[in-house]
Amino acid sequence: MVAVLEKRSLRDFDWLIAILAISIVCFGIWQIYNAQPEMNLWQKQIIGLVVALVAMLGIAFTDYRRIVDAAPVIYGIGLFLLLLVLVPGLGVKLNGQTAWLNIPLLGRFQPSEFVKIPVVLMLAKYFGERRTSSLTFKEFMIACAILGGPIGLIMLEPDAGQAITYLPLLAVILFLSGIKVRWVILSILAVMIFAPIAFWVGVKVGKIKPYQVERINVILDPENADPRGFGYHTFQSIITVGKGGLTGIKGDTETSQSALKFLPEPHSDFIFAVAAENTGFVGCVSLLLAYALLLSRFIAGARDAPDRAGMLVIMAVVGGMIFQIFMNVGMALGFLPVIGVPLPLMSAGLSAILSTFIAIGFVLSVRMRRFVN
Amino acid sequence: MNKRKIKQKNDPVQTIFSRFMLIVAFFAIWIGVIGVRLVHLQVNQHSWLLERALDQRRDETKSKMLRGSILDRSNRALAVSVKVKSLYADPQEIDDVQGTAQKVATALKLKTQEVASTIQEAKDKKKRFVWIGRKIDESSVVKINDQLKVADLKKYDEPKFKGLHWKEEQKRSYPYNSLAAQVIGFSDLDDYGKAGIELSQEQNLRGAVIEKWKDRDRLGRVYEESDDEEREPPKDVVLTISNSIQYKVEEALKEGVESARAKSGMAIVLDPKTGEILAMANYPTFDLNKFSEATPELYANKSVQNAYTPGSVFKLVTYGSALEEKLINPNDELDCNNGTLDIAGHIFNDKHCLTKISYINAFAISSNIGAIRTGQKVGKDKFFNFARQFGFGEQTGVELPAESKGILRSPEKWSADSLASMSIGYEIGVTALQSAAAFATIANDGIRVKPHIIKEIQQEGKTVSTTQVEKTQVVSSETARQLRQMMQQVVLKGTGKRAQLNGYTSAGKTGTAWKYDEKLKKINDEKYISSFIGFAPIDNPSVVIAVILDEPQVAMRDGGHVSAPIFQDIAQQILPELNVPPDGFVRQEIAEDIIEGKEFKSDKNDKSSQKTTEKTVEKTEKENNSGNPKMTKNGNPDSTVTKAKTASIETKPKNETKNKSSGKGKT
Repeated sequence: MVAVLEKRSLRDFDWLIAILAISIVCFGIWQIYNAQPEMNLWQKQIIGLVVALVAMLGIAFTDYRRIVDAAPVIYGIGLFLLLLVLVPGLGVKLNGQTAWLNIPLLGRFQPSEFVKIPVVLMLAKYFGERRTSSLTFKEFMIACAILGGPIGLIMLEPDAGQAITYLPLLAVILFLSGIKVRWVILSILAVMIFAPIAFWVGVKVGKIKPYQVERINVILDPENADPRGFGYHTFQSIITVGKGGLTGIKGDTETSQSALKFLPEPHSDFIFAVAAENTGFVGCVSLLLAYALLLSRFIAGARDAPDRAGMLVIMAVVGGMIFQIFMNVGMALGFLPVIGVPLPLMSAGLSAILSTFIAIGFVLSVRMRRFVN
Repeated sequence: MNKRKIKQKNDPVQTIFSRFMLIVAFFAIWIGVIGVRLVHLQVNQHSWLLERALDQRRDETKSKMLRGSILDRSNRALAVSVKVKSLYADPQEIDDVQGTAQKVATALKLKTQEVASTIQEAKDKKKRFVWIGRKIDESSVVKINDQLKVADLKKYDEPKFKGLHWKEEQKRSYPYNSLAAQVIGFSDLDDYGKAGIELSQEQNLRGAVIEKWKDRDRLGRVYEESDDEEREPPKDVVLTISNSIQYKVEEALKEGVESARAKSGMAIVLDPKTGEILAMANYPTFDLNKFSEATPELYANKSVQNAYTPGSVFKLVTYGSALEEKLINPNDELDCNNGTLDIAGHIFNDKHCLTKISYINAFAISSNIGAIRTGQKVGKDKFFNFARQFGFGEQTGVELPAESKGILRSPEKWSADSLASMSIGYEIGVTALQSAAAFATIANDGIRVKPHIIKEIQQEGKTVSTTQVEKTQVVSSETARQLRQMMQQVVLKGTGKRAQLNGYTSAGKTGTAWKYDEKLKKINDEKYISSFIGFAPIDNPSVVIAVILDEPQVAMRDGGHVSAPIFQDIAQQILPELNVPPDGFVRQEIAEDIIEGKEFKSDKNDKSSQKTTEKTVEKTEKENNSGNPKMTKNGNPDSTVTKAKTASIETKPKNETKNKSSGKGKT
C-alpha cells in the first residue's frame, strides 16, 4: 500500500518545481559566497536548504486539505509565536527590530517569516469553503481581521518591510474570490491618494523618520540625492548592478562592491545586485526567467488544483513571491525605496528559506493531488 | 436573457481564469520593465558606473619629487626644495561651513569670514577641492592636526576633521636670500621656474611626477596599492658662481651704486681662461624668499637682458681690429687736427687731443678723434666683422633666459658717420656680459672662451655632464698683448687710475656714454652710463671684472670716477681669495693723477679751448635732437675724466662734458 502510494506520489511529484527552486537557491548560495566570502553564511544557507528540503517533502507528501482543515490551530500557534517575540527577554533585537527568537541548537528564528503560512492557510480555508460568486463586505472584513492580527504584531517589532509582504497575500485571495473590479479600482485610487497624504502626515508627525524620507526622495529625484547620505544604498546598488555589464566581473571578486563593503547588506537585501555584478546581464535575465518558469509552474498548479482552497493557497504563494521579487529587484535597480524585503530563495536567512520551501511544499502537495477528487 | 444567465453562471470560473491571466500579464510586464532597466544599467551605463565604482575606492595621489638644487661652484646650496604640506578642503564633505571655517581659521590663523566664503563658494560650484592653507612646514602641521582633532571621528587621514585633508607639496628655499637673485631666479607656488637658472634649467631641475593610487574599502582600509614607480631623480645644477665672490661683488656694487647715487648697477666677474662667470650681480636686488613682495622690474638680470650704449669701452674693438690688421702701431703718432674732425659733414670734437699724440696715449686718455681716426683706417666691413668676432650683436649663449643679443647693425644700414660713431662706442648696444667676454678675449691672448654660468649638472651627487667650452681665436696673441699694454696705460696714466690695485697690476678701459632717452627721443646728456671693464694681473690675467653704473648722480660720474673704484674694490678682495700671486704693484696716490695728466699736452690747452668749443657744442647739440633716433653719435664724455683730474677738480662736470663732447652738424 505504502509502496503503491509512494510510486504514485513520485510520479505525480512536480520535479521541475523542485529542481528550479533548488537551482535558484544554489545560485543564491554562490552569490552569498560572493557577497560575504569571509563569513559562513553560505554554509549556513546550505544547511538551511537541506532542512528546508526535508520540510518541503514532508508537506508535499501530506494532504494539504488536512493541513488547511487544521488552519485555525496553526494560525493560533503563529500568533502565539509573534507574541513571544514581543515578550521582553525572549525576543532578540537586531538593527532596532525585535523580530527573532533564539532557539537552542537551531539558532535564531524569525516567526514573522513563517506566520505568512498560517495566514495563507486561514484565508484559504475561509474563502475555499464559501460558494458565493462575489465578495461580500462581511467576508472582506473577516479577511482583513485574519491578516490584521499578525500585521499588528509585526508592526510592533517594528518591521514594516515584513508587514508589507503580508498585504499581497490578502490582495490575491480577495482578487480571486470575486472582489468587484470597482473595489479594486477604488482601492487602487485610494492608495494613490492616501499614500502621499499619509506619507506627508507621517513626516509632519515624525512617525516617518528622515532617513526613510531620504530613501524615498532618492527614488523620486535621484539627480539631487546625496550619494553619500541616505541615498547611498540605492546609489551603491545601481553602481554594483551596472558594474556587472553583460557577463559580470569574471573572477575579479577582490574588488567587488560587496567585498569592499560599499554595498550594504549584500547577502540579503542586495543579493540581486551581487548577482548582477558577478554574472552580469546574462545572469540576471537567467535568474528572472527561472523565477518566471517557477511561478508559471505554480500558476499551472493552481489551475489544476482539485479544490478552491488549494488554488487559493498556491495563488497566495505566487502573489507573495511576485511581490517580494518585485520589491527586492525594484529596490536593487533603483525603482523603489530601500525596504528590507528579502529576495525569495536567494537572500541568506534560514527562516526565509525554510518558510519559502514550506510554501513550495504546499504548492507541490496541491499539484500532486491534481487528479484526485 | 438566457445567454446572460449562462454567462452569470460561468462567472466565478471565468472571473478566476481572467484574473489569473491578469496576474500573469502583470508579472510579464514587470519582467519586461526589469529587463529594460537591466539593459540600461548593465549595457548603456556600464562603463560610467564601472568608473564610479573605481572612483569611490581609488585614492589617486600625484606627488612630485623634490625639485633639484642649484649649487654654487663649491656645492653650496643656493636654492633647495623642502617637503611641506598644504591643507585643502573637500567642500562636499562639509555640512557646517561656518563651524568648519571657524575652527580652521583659528588653527591656521586666518580670517573666519574669508575661509567660510572660500569653502561656500566652492561648495556651491560643486567643487571637490579648494586650498585652505598652502606650504605649511611639518611642525606647524602637527600643531594644526592637534587643534583640529575631533576625537571620535572615523577618518583615515589627518587631520581628523571632516572635509579637511593634507596634500604633500614642496617649498623652494633660497638660503642666501638675495644673493645672486637675478641669476638664480625663482620658481612659483606650483614649482615652475619663472626666472633665471630656475627657468632656463627647468628641464633639469623639475622633479618627476609620481602617480600613485591606493584602493580603499568603505572602511578606509587600503587593500591594494600601486607599485612604486622608478622615476629618474631630478638633477642639480652647479653654477660657476662662487658664493663668496658673489657676495663681495654684490657688497662692492651696492656701496658703489649708493655712493654714486646711481639708478642701478651691474657687475660681472669672469675667468678669462675658462669662461666661467664667478659672479654676476645686479643692484638694486630683491630677496628670493619673498620675491612676490618685490617689484617685477627687479627680477630682470640686466647683465644679460639689457643692451646699453657702451661708449669708450668699445674702443677696444676699434683699436683691436686696427692692431690685428696691422694698420697702426701703438707708438705711432696721429694728428688730432686741432681737436675737431669732420666726418661726412659732422664735426666730432676732442679737446684732449689737439696736436699729435701716440695711439697708446690716445687710448689711455680716451681720445675720440684718436679712436675715430683708427676706425676710419679699419673700414666699415672689417670693423663690423671684428665686432662680430668679439661677440657683439649676438647672444653669448650663457645659460640664462631672455638674453639680449645687443644691437649691431650690418654695414649696409650704416649712415656716413656710423663708423665714426661706432668707433667711439655709439650707435650700438651691448650687454654687460658681451663686454666682459670681449675683454676676457684680450686677457686670454686673443682666444675667446664662451662665457658660461653652469659648471656641471649633477644627479644624486654624481656629475652627469660638465659644460664644454668653445674656444675661438679672435685676434692674435700679439694683438692681445699690445692691447693689454694699452689698457694698462689707461690705469697707469689715463682715465682709469682709480682702478689701480695694491699688490697687483691691472688694466682696463673706462666708458662713459650719454643715454638715449626713449621719451625725449634724443640723447640726454644729463644721464650717463658709466663703466669700467678691466682685468688683473697684467701678465697672467686671472679675472675680468666689468662694472656698469646706470645714471650715476654725483658730480664726478664718469666711468673712471664711479666704476673704476668698484673694480678696484672687487679685485682687491677677490684676487687673494683666488690665490693669485701678487706682482708687487703699488697703488699710486691720487695726487699723481694730476702730475701724470700733465704729460698729456692736450690737457694743458684745456682751459683756453673751453670757451671756444662751448658754442660749437651747443649748436651741435641742437642738431643732434633731430638726429639719429636710435643711437647716439655723440662724443665721449669719458675724455673729460683726464681733463677734470688734470686741469681742475672744481670744474663742473656738466660744462666739461659739453665741452668735451663732439657733436655732429655743420658749423
